[in-house]
Amino acid sequence: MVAPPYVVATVELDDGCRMFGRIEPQESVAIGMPVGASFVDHGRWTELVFVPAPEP
Amino acid sequence: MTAAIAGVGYTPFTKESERSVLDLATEACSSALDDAGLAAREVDGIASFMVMHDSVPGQAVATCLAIPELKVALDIDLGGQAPCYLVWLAATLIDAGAADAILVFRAMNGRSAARVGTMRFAGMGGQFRYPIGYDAYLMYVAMWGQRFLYETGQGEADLAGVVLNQRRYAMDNERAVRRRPLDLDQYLASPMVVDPFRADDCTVEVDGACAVLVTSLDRARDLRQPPAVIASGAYRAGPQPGVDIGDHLLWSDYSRNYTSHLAEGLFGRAGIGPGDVQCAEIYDCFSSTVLIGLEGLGLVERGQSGSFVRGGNTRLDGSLPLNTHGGLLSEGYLHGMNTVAEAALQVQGRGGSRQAPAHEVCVVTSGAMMDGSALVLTSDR
Repeated sequence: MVAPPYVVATVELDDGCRMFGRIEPQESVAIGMPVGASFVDHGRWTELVFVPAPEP
Repeated sequence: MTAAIAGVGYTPFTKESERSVLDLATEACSSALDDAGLAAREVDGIASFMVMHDSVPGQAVATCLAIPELKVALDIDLGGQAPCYLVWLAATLIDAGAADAILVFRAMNGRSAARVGTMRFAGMGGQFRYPIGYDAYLMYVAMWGQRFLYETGQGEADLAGVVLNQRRYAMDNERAVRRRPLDLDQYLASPMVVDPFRADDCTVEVDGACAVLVTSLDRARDLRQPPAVIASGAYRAGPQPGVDIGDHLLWSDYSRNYTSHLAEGLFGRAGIGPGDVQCAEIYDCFSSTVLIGLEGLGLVERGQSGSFVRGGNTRLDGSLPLNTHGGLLSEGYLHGMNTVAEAALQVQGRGGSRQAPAHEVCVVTSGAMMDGSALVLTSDR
């Protein structure tokens, strides 16, 4: 379980396909912002979380 | 097409029916037959839909109604995409001579028992969504709503316009569950549930049932009510609708839903254009789907739906009365079966105090995202 509030976003990869995932920190989120991958260990599983990235 | 809706039936919409879904379904179907003035022994088809087995098979309802024999029995595994689709299928089956009179219903203890809003849908994509909290139907619709608002430069005032328009109608509808007056300040002061949706942007779940009777136009003309002629219908899924209802990853443009894809065929088969539509009943599990539908059907230009609604054009005295029962937002979540019934009442001229003055051509839709259906209903001219 994830405690609200949190952000789930559709992320478009540079190669054209889409994924969805949470974005942290949520205060930073805006549609169109560049993000990169980060991995969060939850013990029994690992979550792909997107985080703000510098402009390419 | 030579079929029509000849009668509509409802149970009361409540928070806790204390009755079985079978009982609710039987009452709504029986009520639709009474409305039309047709005996159950004349019925030979039944069609319904359910989500995660939250309803009963049509054959069970036919048994309770003492229908002698079924030539058509359809139970499909779909939600709000289904009502127009099933009515359209019923019309085509009648047109083909497969059956004479088909009841289409939706019944559910949708508030006190299986609630769609918090249901965990079976589906291959769920394994990726549930662990990260992307786990409820309203979140999927919110994802599309956000993209739509962003792409078209619209926002919360535009969603508010939809909510307030429909609440105004619901205040005049005794069947509606949400009838207290609502103004913009009250709307904006309420907290977000899932951005961009506040509580009043979300449908209100209810227990209840709704049914319509479909028969040939010739037969409908001999019955008690004026026919609501089924001028055309359409169902569309795609492009690439995904592995389940929460999967929009391969859908080309999720700021547009199925309405953009079916509009041309729908209106073409009816021999009309969007400009000929006089009133509309657009599926509204959440407020954003009304705006997406108005634009997708071509009733309003892209990006203009919010200002169109806020400008009063969708009130009874406007150019396009819209969701005249208060919609699923205010009348209650009968999964859009009640939206079809309202469209029938409007073209029949039985809308009472919420009757659209011009009501010869009405468009009605079912569904919110990658798949859905629609009908054009007309008065018998």
